[in-house]
Amino acid sequence: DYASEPSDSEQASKALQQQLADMTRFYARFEQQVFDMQQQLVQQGEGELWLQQPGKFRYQMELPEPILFVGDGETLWYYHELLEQVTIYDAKAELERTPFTLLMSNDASLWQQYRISQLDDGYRIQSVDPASPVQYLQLHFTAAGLNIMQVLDLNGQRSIFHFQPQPDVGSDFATDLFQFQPPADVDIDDQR
Amino acid sequence: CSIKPQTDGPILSAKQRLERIEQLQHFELTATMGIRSPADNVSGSLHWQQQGEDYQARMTNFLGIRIFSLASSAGSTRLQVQGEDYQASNSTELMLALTGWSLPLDDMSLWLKGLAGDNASAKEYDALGRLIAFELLDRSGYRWQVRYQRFFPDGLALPRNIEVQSDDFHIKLVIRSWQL
Repeated sequence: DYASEPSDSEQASKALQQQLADMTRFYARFEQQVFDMQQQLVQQGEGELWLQQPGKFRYQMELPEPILFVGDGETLWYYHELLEQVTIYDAKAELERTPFTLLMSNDASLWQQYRISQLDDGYRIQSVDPASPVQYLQLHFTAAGLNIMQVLDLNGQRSIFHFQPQPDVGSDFATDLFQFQPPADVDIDDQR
Repeated sequence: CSIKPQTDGPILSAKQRLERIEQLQHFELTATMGIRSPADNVSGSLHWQQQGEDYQARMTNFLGIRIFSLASSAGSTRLQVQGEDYQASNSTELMLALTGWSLPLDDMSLWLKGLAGDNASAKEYDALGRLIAFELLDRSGYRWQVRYQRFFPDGLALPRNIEVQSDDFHIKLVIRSWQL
């Protein structure tokens, strides 16, 4: 018999993984807007995002409150400053915690847990896990790189991130950017 | 008006402060909330809107995903979790069944303001006569310890940091703003 035609999702997934692999480094300020099912603006946020292959990211939110989400591909640190609490996860086992581990991963098996469809300016990513709290994640690209990320949850609430990407400086970010040392008096909850 | 940390405002006696807080029937607040439970560790922004006996509340995590929403009017409560809608007479019980964690919702519109309802015992007060801790027995028989660590630095001194604890759940609330 002959090799079965790769499905649209497999082709889209290959194309998306290639586009993300070409994005070895990414740094942008972002603004976030969250709209509920009646399209009411329910939350706004602001912060910075660093991404680096493979698997590394730093999501540093300043508004509405200081939140830090850091991953080095193996470990995820979720630091909630106001709550004086850091939760530590295994990055690969907790893909649903943030999209960033997946987006920066070169591990094909992780991508198999998602169905990808091509949009005219980007991709829609849907988890095959029915228990996922997200209906889909959408990435929209321009010449400057990742421009918009949209998360649609099960209640129809939509969270839209607008990125202002900075040009790639051509050298890796400092490694400690993707690690986290909990401050002294912080509650550590290690979920690994 | 929106209460953010200010240091002006008249100094009220404990009794005057209590009366003014009890009269507060319409308010909104935005808080950071963390819920730690054996099942999961959830955190996000809580928005609470109180109109007399009725309230609406929603919790959204940092990615913008809705964790839950609650609407209570005329004694019955509608709870929305993971895209499903439920009608509940006992929302504390229902939330526990749906998510694996819960919080004392029946008296929440009181303890958010720093008031202990009729189901409270072991009340403790600080030097200024403000309630700083009490125990709450909810109608499902769960015992909760409520503790106020910080108040806003104005005359009304509404709560700013609240901790609510039961055997299984540890809830931390940092109230970012009050709208009265």
